[in-house]
Amino acid sequence: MDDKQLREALQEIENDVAFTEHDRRKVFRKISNHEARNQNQKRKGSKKHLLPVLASAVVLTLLFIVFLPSLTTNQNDFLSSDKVGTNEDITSIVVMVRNSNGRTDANLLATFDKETGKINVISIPRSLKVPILMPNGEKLMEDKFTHAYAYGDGAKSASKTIGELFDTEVDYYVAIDRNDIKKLLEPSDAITADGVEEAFTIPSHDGGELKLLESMNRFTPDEIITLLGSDERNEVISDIIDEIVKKFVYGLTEDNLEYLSKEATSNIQSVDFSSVKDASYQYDVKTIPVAEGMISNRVDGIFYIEFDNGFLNDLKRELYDFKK
Amino acid sequence: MEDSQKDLMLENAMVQYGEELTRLAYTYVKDTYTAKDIVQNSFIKYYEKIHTFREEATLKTWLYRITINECKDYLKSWSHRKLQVFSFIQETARGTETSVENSVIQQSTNEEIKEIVLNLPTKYKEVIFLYFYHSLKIEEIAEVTSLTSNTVKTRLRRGKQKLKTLMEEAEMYG
Repeated sequence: MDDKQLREALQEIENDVAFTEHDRRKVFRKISNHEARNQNQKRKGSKKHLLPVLASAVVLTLLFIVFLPSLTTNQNDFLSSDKVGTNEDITSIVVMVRNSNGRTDANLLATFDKETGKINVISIPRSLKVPILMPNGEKLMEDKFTHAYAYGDGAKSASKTIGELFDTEVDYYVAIDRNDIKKLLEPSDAITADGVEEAFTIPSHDGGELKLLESMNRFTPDEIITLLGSDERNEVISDIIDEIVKKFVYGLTEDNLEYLSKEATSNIQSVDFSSVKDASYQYDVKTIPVAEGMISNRVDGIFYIEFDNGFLNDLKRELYDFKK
Repeated sequence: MEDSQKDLMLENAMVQYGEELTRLAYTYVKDTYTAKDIVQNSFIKYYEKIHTFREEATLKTWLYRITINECKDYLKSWSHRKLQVFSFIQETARGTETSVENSVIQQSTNEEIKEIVLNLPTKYKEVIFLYFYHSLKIEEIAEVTSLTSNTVKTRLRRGKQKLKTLMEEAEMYG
């Protein structure tokens, strides 16, 4: 059986699928019924109850940005002109998962363009060597990004540090405890990645190893966080990270966000989650891979990751490029 | 945006994409009535977000994505699972009654392929249909299914491999 025969065979499938005028009228009827029902509910003051807590985790918080006040009022005037992200339609956010030692195991920098509805995400390797900054911009030391939260002034320092690295002013930060994230994950949340052609392992944050098998993989919540912050990057890992990010963004629910908003450390004041339903369908999420420009290094026996300078400049541009 | 303008945009979208979306939904749910119901819901969602769409290309991929999500939700739903158990019982009962009759019915090769593809696991079936039936490019499939291009390629290759094995088995035992 060749491709041509397969194509021909499938063309013979079920011919009675015309979307007739009757079907179209039915859509209009359903819309009008739906609107009438909504009116009634508003009058009664009842709040529509949305889905229970389901698939959701780290990256759900990315969608905080969608509901932030700055999107309706143009509050990004504070961005200075020499920074990359000066467009007032764009909001940036850093999402961190912190462990019990105050280190951040997963760090995601995301930008959201209100105009196009696109979200760009960079997943930062935890050992990326950076100048760690205090919230006022004062340099503390050079070390792994994972330490920025503990050595500096918590999420504010980590946010300032990552912003400086990418020449931007990060608008919002969210830091969530590893255990809180795990509470949100259920067995059904397991990510499967069947693009792995050859089994390999990557080191996990606690000195162990995460095995990626040929064929099917099911990742636990802990492993998902390890993958997001992994210092090991190749095409397969970049693809898995992309898949994780998309899966969570598209699995967004109002309850998840409300839960996270209560548990997280954040500079987001108040967020209205009532319009979350179906919101995920509106957004295109792109994860920018970093494998290509990563340089592994050892200084005084300590392992670091560094970005090639030219590559870092490309990343800065790509983070604010929403045309593709 | 005025309601009359929204209605017109919805009507145009239904005329343009209604049939191909129903075909798409059918490949998942294998039932015309359910497929149409799912597509109607997709159009209702489109109507609710109509002001956010400007480009034709975005609309098509969005409608594909939302229809696929609706189909997957349906397949996970309790009502569908209940229906499956019921058909399984029916099929089993029918199988014991008319096995001799069934064995003499020779299906054409194309029908066999069609049947086998429809019964593949969803993850393989969807990429095979989107590629060979809806003629979407790998990148487009990646976009509407929220997978990466590499995963799409892998599933396409494995799906075809699985199909080949099942065809060979059917020939051997059919």
